[in-house]
Amino acid sequence: MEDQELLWLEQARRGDQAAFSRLVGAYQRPVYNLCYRVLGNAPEAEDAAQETFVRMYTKLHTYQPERKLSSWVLSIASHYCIDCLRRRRGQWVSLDEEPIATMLPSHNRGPEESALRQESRDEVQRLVDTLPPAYRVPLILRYWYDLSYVEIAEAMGLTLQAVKSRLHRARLQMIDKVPAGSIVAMVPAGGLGVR
Amino acid sequence: MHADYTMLMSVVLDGEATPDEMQRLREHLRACAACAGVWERWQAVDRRLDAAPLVSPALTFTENVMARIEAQSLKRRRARWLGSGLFMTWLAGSLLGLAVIGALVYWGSQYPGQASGAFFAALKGVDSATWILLGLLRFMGGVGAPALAAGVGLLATLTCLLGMLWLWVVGHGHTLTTEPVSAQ
Repeated sequence: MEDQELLWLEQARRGDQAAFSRLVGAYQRPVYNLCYRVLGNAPEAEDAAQETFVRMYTKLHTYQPERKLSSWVLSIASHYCIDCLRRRRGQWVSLDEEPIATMLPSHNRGPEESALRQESRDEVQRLVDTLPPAYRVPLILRYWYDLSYVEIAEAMGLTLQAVKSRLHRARLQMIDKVPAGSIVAMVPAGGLGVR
Repeated sequence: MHADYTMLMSVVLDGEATPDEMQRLREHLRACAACAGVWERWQAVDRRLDAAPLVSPALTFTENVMARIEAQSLKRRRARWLGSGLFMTWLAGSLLGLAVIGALVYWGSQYPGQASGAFFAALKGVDSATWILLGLLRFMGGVGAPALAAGVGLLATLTCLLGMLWLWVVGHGHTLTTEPVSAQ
């Protein structure tokens, strides 16, 4: 897949807009999800994700082939989202805003299942929203993209120690915000144990 | 709870711990009930985060991005056109001025008599223009400084407004926008 995407990237560099639109199609979901998870609301996420691709288009010639394409794209998105959060100057997004899920068509899901998924999604988003931007982005890259410390460090321009420390602090902060009853409900039947 | 071990828990949850570190945590959790409780909570939150799905953008997302890119390149093309237009105008004006000066110098060297006559005629013209200007100044003096300042200010404002309007028309065009393209 990466080879195909690199081919599209090469074609886009030569001015082929159709190739670039295929790249957008391939990365729209991860980029949008990152923006949504970092910014916490759909309109800003839509704008930030669009801007990410516009920046990617104008920076196509700066892409280094030895770097993973997905890391490069996510790096552009995460830097832009952090800038957006800084511009907000501490004005956190209201949790009452309409989440994206309600705007999307449900794919063969019953209303009860949709409601449960929605509730779970909101709970997760609420947790993420409590974190400062510096901790939020590494956490999102770790959980939704399964990036390693090295990849997160590369995407964010941090040291490995900083990534490790930020993820640790993010967890410490999040756990304080989770109500005790909610935690009990989260514990699976399988018990504990180090994975 | 032991603070050192929460860092270790975090590393284990990230899948970055060595077998030795995992063993160390396992042994500690057997001996420390407080840390075992924390580990339980952390695992629960970890599972919840792991299970959270990716959210998807609107179906028209790709079209919207391409429309935004097209709008931005159109704006850049217009700016480039405006810049090159101004440069060409300046260049043409300079060349024309040089050509006129060159022609005058050449003509003066070929026909010195006619040239000196023309020069004095031009001086007379400047003299007449000076008289007209002085007449105007006297008239303005009669009008008074505040009215004069207001008139000049009005003219300057109108000129600026017209200039800005022209720049806006050239720079922005009809439907051009760089704002996010909303989902349709």
